[in-house]
Amino acid sequence: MEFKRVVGTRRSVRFLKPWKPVEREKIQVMFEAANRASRSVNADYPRAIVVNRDDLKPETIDALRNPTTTAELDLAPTYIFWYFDNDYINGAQERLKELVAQKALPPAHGWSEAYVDDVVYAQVLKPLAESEGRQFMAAIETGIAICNAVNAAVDEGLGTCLHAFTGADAVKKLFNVPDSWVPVWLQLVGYPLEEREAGGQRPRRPLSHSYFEGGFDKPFEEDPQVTERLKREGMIQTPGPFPYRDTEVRMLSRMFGLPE
Amino acid sequence: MSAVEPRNLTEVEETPEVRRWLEKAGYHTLPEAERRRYVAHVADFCAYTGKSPAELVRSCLLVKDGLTKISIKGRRAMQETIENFVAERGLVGRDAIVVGNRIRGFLVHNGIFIQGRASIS
Repeated sequence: MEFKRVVGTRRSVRFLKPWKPVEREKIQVMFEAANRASRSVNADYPRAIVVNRDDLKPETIDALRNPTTTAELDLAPTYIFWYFDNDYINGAQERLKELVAQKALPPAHGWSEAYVDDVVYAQVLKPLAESEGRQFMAAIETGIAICNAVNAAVDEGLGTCLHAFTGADAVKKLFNVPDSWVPVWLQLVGYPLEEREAGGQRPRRPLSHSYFEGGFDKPFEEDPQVTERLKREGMIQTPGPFPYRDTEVRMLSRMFGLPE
Repeated sequence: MSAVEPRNLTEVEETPEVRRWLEKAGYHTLPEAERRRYVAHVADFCAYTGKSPAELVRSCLLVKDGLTKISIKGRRAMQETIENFVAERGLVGRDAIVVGNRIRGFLVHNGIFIQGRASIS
């Protein structure tokens, strides 16, 4: 699928085919996409554990359940528990020097091994590692990686949704999660049972609401020709709700005995 | 659940909380017999717990510093109560899930975020 259509087709898909497993190769694609994401100081912020529902004992799934995350665990064949590693600074100094050696961080922009050692590590990374700000940085960078994984899932024909990571204590115990890992999102993955459009594209405010040009007093106005091109190329799609969305959701809910 | 209608059915059906649920879920347009069958589950649950529909909703909420919040303890207790209720009514499998989720649906439409199992077997 073309990039723009992937972005435009992404939805939070909550109705998944519980009977259709996700191929391991598709998970690899998602992880590789996450691993290729932009990330500052080339640090390994994200961590993830993938488990297949049907590989888990019923009592393990029950341990993951709570009043806000239960039906979803039944419908999704694959769970990905996303974390960031609060110890991401460890090794960052050497990883940065790898980038210097590769000329990804070139002298043209002021980079050198000495700068990494004497300035970036000593004056930026080390103090950051000892401050509250390190979690802020890790959360942002992990979010970027997860975004890549979400879009990769869409590209692979999967449905996915990020859910509040509840039950982190149970997950930590069940899957031997290290103490330095901080829970971020529970990503549920499977094949969409609802239509791929999932009732239509979600509402968004126009670009001028959030984006500006030259200063806050000048909202970024859309060029109608570009907007039309994005419609043709699939980034902007038919807005929801489709006229039959209510019926679609009702019938899917009845299929699984869920509240209507 | 017994085929006999709970004695509190009409009283429960007329409460604002149940009316809101019926309307939001689209049940208010159902034939009366079917609608009353749905309401009967909530009415029976009210009888089981000794609580009115409003009290059921309130038991999942917490008012603190003038703000209404979800009570984590209350919601967890509600989840257990629903499971106990369907078990004591002799419901198993899909029937247990459907009836439990019907009660949850009543709570959901009254502002309580709560999930039960999905019937996938």
